[in-house]
Amino acid sequence: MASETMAETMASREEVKANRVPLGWRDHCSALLLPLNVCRKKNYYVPWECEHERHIYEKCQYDDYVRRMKALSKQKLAEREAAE
Amino acid sequence: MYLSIIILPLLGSIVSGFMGRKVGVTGSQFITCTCLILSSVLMTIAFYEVGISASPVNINLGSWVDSEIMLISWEFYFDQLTVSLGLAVLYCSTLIHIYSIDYLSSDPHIQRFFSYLSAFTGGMLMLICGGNFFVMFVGWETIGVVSYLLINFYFTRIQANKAAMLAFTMNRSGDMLMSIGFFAIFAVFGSLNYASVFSLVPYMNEVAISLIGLLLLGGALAKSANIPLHSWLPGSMEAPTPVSALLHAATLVTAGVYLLLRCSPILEYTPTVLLIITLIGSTTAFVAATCGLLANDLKRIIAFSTISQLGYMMMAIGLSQYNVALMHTVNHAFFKALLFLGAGAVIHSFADQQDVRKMGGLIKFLPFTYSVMLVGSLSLLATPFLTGFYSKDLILELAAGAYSFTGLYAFILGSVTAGITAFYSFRLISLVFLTKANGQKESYLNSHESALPVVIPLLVLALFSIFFGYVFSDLFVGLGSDFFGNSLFIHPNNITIIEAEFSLAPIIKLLPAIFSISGAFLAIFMYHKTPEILINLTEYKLGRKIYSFLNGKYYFDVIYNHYVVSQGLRVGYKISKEIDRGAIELLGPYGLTNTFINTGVNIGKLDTGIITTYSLYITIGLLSLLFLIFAPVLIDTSIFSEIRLIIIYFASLILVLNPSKTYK
Repeated sequence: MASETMAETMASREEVKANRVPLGWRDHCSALLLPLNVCRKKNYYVPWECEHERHIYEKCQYDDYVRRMKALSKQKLAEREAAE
Repeated sequence: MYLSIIILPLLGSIVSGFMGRKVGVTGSQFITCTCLILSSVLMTIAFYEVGISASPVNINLGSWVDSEIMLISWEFYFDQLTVSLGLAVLYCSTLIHIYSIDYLSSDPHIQRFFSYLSAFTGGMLMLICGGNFFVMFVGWETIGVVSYLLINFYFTRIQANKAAMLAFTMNRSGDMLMSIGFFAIFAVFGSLNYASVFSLVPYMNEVAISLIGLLLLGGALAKSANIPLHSWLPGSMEAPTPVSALLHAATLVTAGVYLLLRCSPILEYTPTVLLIITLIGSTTAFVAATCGLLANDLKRIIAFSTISQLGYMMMAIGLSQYNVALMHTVNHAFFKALLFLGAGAVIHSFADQQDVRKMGGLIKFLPFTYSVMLVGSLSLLATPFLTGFYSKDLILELAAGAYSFTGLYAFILGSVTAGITAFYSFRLISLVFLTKANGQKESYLNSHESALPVVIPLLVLALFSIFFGYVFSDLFVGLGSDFFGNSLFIHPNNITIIEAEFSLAPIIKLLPAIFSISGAFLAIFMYHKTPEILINLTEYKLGRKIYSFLNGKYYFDVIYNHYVVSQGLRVGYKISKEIDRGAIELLGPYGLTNTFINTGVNIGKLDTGIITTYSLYITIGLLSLLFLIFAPVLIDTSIFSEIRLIIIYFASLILVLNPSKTYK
């Protein structure tokens, strides 16, 4: 399930290259960043527009952050157990 | 159009400076202000084309240096970084030009003043629009020279002379390091073009990159007044107030920050330099803020605040958050220009009084000035939803979200500094506007709100200080914003905005705001309810020491004067007396002529008039000749291979050619 979600939210290498996504943002949520940045450009980057796209993107980043933290906790736990 | 942005201010400067008598005072003001307004309009169009439409522009005017190993062009490059900073530079500069029409109306040399202001703006634009390090250096040096001229505008005042020389020499020491950095870049990369250098950085030796980073940092520290090269900035307040607003808030001091932002692809590959930048930035922010706590000069308080905010910018650069640093630079330009211009309006209307202890109660006399200065101060201390909030608060969150030692150091010092900033800002507001009147009656009777050319810039800057941050927040620091394209490079490993956004506890996020509110309330409370505590501060030994220490600016000047300047003078004296007039004169032309004269005199002394001496010369000459001819045959070797014989021969010649003084 998680991998399916990741596949949905992650843009292909060609897509991020074509849309000139900054290197640091070519992550698990890059597919959601593409429409956000298109919307931003269309609306001159004003903060009161593109709320829907921004919300979806931030939600994805939050979920990804939680996933990374869980993975880190598991890794640390495994390391601790291995040390014991 | 793009070249006009740079040329127009320079044109205004030339007309005002060289044809000042022809065009007159009004003509000079009209021409320079018109040029600046046009340039600002063009920069706004450039911001749309280059920034919003993501179309960087490169203009190559032709070759400058074209040798076998070096190719440098007169090249200008307009990218997102250039236009973002250019917007702040030109808007502030235009408003300051307009402000100066009234502010300096009773001063002489107005044409010269406007010429300098426009030349400075032109130099700044050349710096930020330069397409390679060389052109950037031309702009860098231009602003260095013009800043000297502007600080020294009142050239009959000894304090202005001293301040200008201090600023110039301190900036030169930084420039020297930066020049060496450029040489190092050329030695390592073989080019001074941005594109060539930045594309090669990942493949270069890290030590070499770190050294280059440190050298460039030296230049940036001097220009952007960070520790240890910061002490020139408070002294520069001797300049007229519009100069303080233009140089020491909006433009000059951002040059160092710009250099580091431009070199972000270099810095991202030198973690050591980034660490140093963060430590220096955080320390600067804290030290300068504490110095501002007890300063009594209105402009100096704001100057310390500037140094402190520059520390925040450096902190953001050290944490690799270049877009946030740039946003803070632009935001700071607006609210600090507002504060300086507001301070100027107060000083101007209050009999040129700058000591905050001799003011008070001006809220009823200058309500508009009070309002705009309050807006500037609130924006400075990152009051939620004002301009400063969107960058300053984010810098602190990013520091906490970095989860590193330097991040923690920056967060702690930055948060404490936020509290101190609020304290000295509201101390200023209290002492100048709110407390009971402490000045002379005549000053109050003559105080009045400023004229329209002063009011308009204040109003515009106040609006920018309120709304700019919000309107441009998504553009500059929005999550995943692609506005900057390739102009700023953040290594993927250094992006911490996600952690800053989602991982921090609410108390950590609120801490700077809590400190700020506490600092502001404490200042108002202490200066209204318990002023005796502050008045009696110097009655106690510890209080007196703290007061001296902070008012003495941590004794940086004392240390520099005692250990650097005096030692420098000593070394200079040694060089002048012992090397210049000693070794160099002995070996140089003077020494050469002396040798010829002495040799001639010595040869002349051989003529003794004694026959036996002459016969000795003849015998030695004959023996020498015989020796030269027959030596190879007699001793079966070349005379040049038997060095001992040659030494003996020449030694004997010298003995003969130096007649003993006993002959005399």
